[in-house]
Amino acid sequence: MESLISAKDLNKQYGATRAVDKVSFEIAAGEIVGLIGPNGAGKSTLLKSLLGLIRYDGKLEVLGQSPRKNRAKLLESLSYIADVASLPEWISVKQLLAYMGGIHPGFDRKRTLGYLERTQVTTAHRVKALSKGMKTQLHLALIMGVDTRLLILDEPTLGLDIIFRTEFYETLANEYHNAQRGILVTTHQVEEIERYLTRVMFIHHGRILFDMPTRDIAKHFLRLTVEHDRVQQARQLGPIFSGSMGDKQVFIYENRVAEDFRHLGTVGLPGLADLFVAKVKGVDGD
Amino acid sequence: MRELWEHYNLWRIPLIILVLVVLANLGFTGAASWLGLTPPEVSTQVVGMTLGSLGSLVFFVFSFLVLFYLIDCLYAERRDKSILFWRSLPVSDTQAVLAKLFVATVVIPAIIWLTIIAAHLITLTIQSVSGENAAKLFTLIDLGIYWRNLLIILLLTALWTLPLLTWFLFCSSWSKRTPFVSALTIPLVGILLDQIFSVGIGLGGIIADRIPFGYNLGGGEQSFLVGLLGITSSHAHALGLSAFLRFFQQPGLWAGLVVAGGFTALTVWTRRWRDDG
Repeated sequence: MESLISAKDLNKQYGATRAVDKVSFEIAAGEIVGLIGPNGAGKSTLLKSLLGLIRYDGKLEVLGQSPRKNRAKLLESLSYIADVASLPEWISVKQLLAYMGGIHPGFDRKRTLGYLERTQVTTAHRVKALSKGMKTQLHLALIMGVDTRLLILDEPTLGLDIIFRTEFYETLANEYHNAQRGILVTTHQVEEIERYLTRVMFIHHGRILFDMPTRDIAKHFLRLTVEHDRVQQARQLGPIFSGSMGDKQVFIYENRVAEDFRHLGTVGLPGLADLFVAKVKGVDGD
Repeated sequence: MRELWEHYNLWRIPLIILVLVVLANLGFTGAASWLGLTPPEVSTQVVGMTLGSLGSLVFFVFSFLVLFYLIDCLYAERRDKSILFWRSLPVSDTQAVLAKLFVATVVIPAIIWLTIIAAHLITLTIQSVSGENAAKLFTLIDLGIYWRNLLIILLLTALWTLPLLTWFLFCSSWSKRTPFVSALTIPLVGILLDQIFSVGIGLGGIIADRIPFGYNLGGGEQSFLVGLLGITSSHAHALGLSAFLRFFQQPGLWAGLVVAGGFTALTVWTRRWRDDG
């Protein structure tokens, strides 16, 4: 598979803090990668480096270009939605379409209009008059009109209600994504994107703690749900995570055989949120 | 195009000015006939002064508009975070900054020019319809030459003031808050320090020299503003080659352009690498 992003020993230092610390990873065409980490983990700094917005040390190639040197060229085939509503308030939808047509060589106006037809956004609207959800729909529609290879999303659904969020990811997964394109998304709301991801990366204190295709997670991790009377036994088997779920207790184990646990309770696949907590806590030494 | 949409004042103000010109004209004629005054003897000088003051009025209003445009343009996109959107599109920072400079030095002068022409035509038309010397008004001054000179002077002014214009642009991209304050206080502090410690750079004079209202075109005693208004000779003759030569031979012009180039490069650099975290 063709590599869309290739980072090797990527570093970014702010004073004494290493916001990004020796990060190496690859993202190939066809992947939908979730970059998951707490606030201040270095997610935004990493994305900014990928977009060529800041300086960094190390080797980084995005779509075969150096983001530091060829930012404008790179952005012809890379789309980006920032974590804040960044569409200018004063502009009208009509003007936005004209502007995109003017600067993006391959902007397909009809396609964008097609997406807007499903929403309540009309070309007569000014961005100012749109709700937060509608702004996101508009931004997504603009991106759908551009033929890019890589889409980078920084907390794209922050502050949106659940209907918008689901619709947003459904559109991306079914209509943007294909074998030639890649998506890199950061978010707090892990549960919502879990089923769309082909790979997941955890970032904490500027380091990538975990990087695994989602289909491999079942091979390496298992979740055990037990009644309270079995908690003691489960604990002794060396879980990497434990948490309560209603009146039951949940444990996560790494690289173990499911057969060893079936007599204690229900064995299943761990959720990314729990897995993330397990990995981050392991590092912090709790 | 983005610039004209965003800064809609750039096209709204000229329309307002023109409406005011129409009203003023009608007002004057109306008042004059009501009072039974006879219109003044039409002479080249009267017409020249009228056209000149209209021109200076428009120019004056636009000087402030350019100032606000330049100081605001790169700051506003940071303030409303839309810079994240603009910079996610395949437009380099150099292109973006140069586009704004182009608006300030070419598009706005063109708007000024058209506004002044429109103001002149409105005034001459209304006055010739109401007055007795109808046909004469249009022939006293060769409007073709007058307007041509005007356009040239406007564009040369942009070149001459470029160091100031680029300074404002730089403040707009660099200032953390209130770019307007930095754009004005930094030069003022510089001038004061220069004076207090008698450094002798003469910063105040250098800056004042770039402000269009006091500028000497070609080093003659004819002030820039006078040249612009065309009260004296400039409406009678086309600006000749010698005037151009004198303008472009001034070392000050080239020094200014070098400074302007420096500010422009700094502006691009700031927009490119600024990291507000």
